[in-house]
Amino acid sequence: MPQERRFILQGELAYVPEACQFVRESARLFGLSDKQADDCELATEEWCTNIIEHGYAKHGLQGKIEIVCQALPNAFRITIYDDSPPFDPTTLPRPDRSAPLSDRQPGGLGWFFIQELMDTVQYEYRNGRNTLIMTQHNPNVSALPRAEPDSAFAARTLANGVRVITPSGRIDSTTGRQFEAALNAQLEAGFNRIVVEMQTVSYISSTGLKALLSAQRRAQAQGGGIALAALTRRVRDVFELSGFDTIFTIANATDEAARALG
Amino acid sequence: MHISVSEMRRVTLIEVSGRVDSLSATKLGEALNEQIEAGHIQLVLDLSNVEYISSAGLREIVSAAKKVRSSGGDLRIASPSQRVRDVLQLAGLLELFQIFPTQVEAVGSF
Repeated sequence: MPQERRFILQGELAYVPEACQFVRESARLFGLSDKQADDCELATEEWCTNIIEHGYAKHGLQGKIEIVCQALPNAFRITIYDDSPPFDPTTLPRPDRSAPLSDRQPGGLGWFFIQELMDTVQYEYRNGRNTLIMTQHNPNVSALPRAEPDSAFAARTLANGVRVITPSGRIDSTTGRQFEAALNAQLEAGFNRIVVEMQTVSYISSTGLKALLSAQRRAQAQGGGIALAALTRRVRDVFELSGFDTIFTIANATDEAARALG
Repeated sequence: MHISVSEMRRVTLIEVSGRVDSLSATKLGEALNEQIEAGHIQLVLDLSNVEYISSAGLREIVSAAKKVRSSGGDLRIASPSQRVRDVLQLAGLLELFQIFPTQVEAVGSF
């Protein structure tokens, strides 16, 4: 998994929602909670809007905005660069949040929001560019590149950080152990939200079920879970007869299963 | 973002859904102003289907509320989601608005 993601947008309001979506997705991918991802999204909109309205448009300029999201040890960092004239937001007055409505200035909340929403915020004018560095702390964020775990099966990572593995053929008492090892390797590599795509699994024995059950317990203990997608009729019958269909989210499609994992 | 306006006997109900961000907020401001200019100053803003709001959206709401109050009316908010409520709180606006858990209560409050 990459430890840095980059997004460049044209400095126009029309592109801001996409930038927010990118930051939100990166925050989740690198291990922040939903609430923290919400806060990163809002802080990003507030700063990009500031750049566009006060940096570029007010001076009749056009320019780009560059956003870099990084995983640091226990923290997620968003750095936003722009080429508008130097603008130090730290000199802005704090809005009076106790004033009655009639005395409220309609604007001026954006910078205040950013400071309140993020754990640290730092402004610099660096190499001719406005540079805003914001971080959000979370022990789930790791700076270490996640090694591609060994797996006998095809594996990939979706944009929301959910890991997908695709076993095939028969999962019986022999191949069941290989399957268990593959699931464990994913969990040990830090992937605790896993979709098992089963469209090419023709048969699953109790060894395979046990491997899934133990992986489910481990994943849930880490705040994640295992979901199953695209089961054949025969495999689905095994889950229903054993009652295992109540232990896992079973979806028709992979993206649906991934959404169920959040 | 989508806005739908319904005129009721004493109240104009404005239902908003989707994202109220710096891109869409102007549209919300225009919809509110249109009502105020038509003399409708008892407004209910139903935010139950707003999934996201930024300071640009709050700016429009604050500016409309100031206008209707100065003419003796009010802008009241119905059923904001927790996320929207958090943003209102952050802005120190939660106490400045009458906020109702349901649309019916907000409309009935006038």
